[in-house]
Amino acid sequence: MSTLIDRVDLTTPEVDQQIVNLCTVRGAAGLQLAATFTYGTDLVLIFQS
Amino acid sequence: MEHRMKIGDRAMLLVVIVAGTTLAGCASQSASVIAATSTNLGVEIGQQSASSGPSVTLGYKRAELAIVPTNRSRDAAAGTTKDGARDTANVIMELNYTGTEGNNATGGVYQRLAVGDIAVTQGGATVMFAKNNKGDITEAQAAALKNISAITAADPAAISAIVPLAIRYTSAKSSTDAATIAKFDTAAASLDRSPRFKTFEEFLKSNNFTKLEATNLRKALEAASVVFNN
Repeated sequence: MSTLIDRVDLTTPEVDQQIVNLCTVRGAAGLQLAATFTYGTDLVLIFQS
Repeated sequence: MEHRMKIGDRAMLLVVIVAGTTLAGCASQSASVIAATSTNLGVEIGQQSASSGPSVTLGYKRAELAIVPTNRSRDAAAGTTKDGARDTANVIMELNYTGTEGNNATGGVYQRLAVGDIAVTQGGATVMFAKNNKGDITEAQAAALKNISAITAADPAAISAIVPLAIRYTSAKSSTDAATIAKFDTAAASLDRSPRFKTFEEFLKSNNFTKLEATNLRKALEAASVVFNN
């Protein structure tokens, strides 16, 4: 099992689209979104295969 | 705060957030933010067949209430006080409802609720929301918490540029188009990296590629007759 951790700045414009794009790209690599949590103004996304 | 239930049949969660409600008897007459939740689970008794014993699913009913005092008054100037109710009404919550049919040992319901700017941003809330639906923090999540400041933020422009390629690659994988997949791998390997990517998937899993690399990758694929719809 491989794990990849990303973080997205929630204060940036079009953050929703950014998250969708990130999930699309990681999904193509066989990774699925396993967990998310906020850290300050960032959203931390944990992807796992 | 977290509540977990192992047995349940139906659950309903109601969250009401009311700004501007005053506690009776409060001398300052200041407004409070109230976050209230209630959960009701049903009770079901039945028998699948004459040969089997009766099955019973227990119910559960609970309520919780958080009252967050603010410095906002109820007079005409309400809402203008700096750091008043408008600044403390942030609420973050989560309801998870998974596999509670029958006596599923792995199922359950849990909810998490935090109210106020500090509550939704401070470390305690981060740890609370990092837990999975079993209440555990996995090894990967623990690593994320430990090194969270070192995690590189994804470049939105680079990610956006790679999306059409990711979609096309996913399509090739779905149709087991080995020839196209090989072209993606070859293109990824051609990027000037040390060490070089072995596969396109390896490239996708990296979180430090640039928009220029994504653009060059697309050009290489188009030169290899890979067609993109967007």
